[in-house]
Amino acid sequence: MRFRKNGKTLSWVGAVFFFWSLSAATVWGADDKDLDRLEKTIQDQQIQIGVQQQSLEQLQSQVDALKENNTAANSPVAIKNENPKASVKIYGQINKAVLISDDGDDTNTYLVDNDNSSTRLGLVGSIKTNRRLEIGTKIEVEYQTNPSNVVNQVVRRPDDAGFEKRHLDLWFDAGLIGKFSLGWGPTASDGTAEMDLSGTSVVGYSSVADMAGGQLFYDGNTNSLSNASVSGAYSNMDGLGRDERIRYDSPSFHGLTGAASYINDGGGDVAVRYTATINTFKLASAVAFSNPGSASNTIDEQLAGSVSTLHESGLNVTLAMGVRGHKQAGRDDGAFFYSKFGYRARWCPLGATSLSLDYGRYSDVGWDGDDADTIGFQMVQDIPHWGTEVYLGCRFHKLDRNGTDYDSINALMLGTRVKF
Amino acid sequence: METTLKHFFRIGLVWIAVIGITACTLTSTPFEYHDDREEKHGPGLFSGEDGGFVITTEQESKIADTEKPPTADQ
Repeated sequence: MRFRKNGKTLSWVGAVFFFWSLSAATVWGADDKDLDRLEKTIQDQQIQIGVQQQSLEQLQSQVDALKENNTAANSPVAIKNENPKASVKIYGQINKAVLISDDGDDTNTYLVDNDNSSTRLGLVGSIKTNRRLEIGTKIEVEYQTNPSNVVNQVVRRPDDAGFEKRHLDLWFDAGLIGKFSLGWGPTASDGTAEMDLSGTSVVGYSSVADMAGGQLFYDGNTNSLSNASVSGAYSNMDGLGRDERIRYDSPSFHGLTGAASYINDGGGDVAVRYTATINTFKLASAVAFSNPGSASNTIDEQLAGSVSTLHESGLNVTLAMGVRGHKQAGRDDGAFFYSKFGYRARWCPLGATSLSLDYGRYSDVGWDGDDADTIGFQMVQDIPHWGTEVYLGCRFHKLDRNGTDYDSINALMLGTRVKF
Repeated sequence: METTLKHFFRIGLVWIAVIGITACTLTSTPFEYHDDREEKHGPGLFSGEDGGFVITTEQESKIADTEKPPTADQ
């Protein structure tokens, strides 16, 4: 029995050996033609593998490119600038407020765009062509609906003026030689009566008519609204403002700079500014002389200036004054004086809080003999993390004009400015 | 005599002003004044720390990406 089993096993081994010998004999016995065919097949397959490898690499590079494009499209900065020497920025703000005004006869509420710092959009770019020259451009426009300095008791919803230009400006900054500007922009004297370190200028500064300039005084003699507006009686004589001009700014000498500009209609101005930190004080000051030439039919020469200082404790003082000649024969010169006392502190975890009180007198601006007084209070809460400020301003306006009995105008503005 | 004194007084005032301004400019540190009513310094609500949408070069963008702090899951 055992032998019989072993015999079966031997038979199987013999059969396997027979077939293996047969196969080996077949291979060993193959001719050169078959070998060549096999070799060619292998070479063809290697070529195919190479082609497929190339295809895979191409596909991988396409996938990488798609991934990169997708990342760029999802990036907050989807627009790319191909010039590494250039810098371009789009910026803007919305500044909206509620304005409540009492003319002594009636109280009105308006939803306004705060003209102290209007709603606007801008694009600024600059490029350093070499170490000594920077070329820049600035395009900025404002769009105000219901400007706070226009709305009044009669016109509660003024027509939209659409986009209005603020800056269409081109400059060449040549370092030690100075800076040349050309286009629509601030003249040399612009802002010289408005230096202000109080932190509350978004709701109150020397141009007090920006807050409620359209409001009309109520005349107690006639028991009716007059044609006299706040903006017609208050002016801070701030040079030539923005205009079509060519302007030169000198380099800074320890904070002291000079500037001059020539405007399109033959007018011009010169200005000196000094801004510096002296011990624990910050000081910003400016003075300018300007003549609008034929750009104005009423205003002749102006001299105006301002100084503002901020102590590191937060206490600050601002003063501004100016005089203006008029082109009408026999008219008195206009003049103004403005003062502001403020305090800045960090009481709130959201950001700095600024408070201020101001007083101003504006004489002979609208008519000879005018005395326009104003007292105001301002409060601004800065929330830098949100690019936002919340503000409150109150202003009392009193106009003494010959032959009239105008009631005082009290205005209150509550609003917010959001920089996007 | 009085006229001469006034003359010297005026000249003295001018010299005091010149010396005062010169002393101030030499002992002070200049800072760049910024009008708060213009484009405000600091971050914007949507634009973040740049305070505006800055159009950068691709190279700068990549550098900025690599400089971003790692997130918790990194």
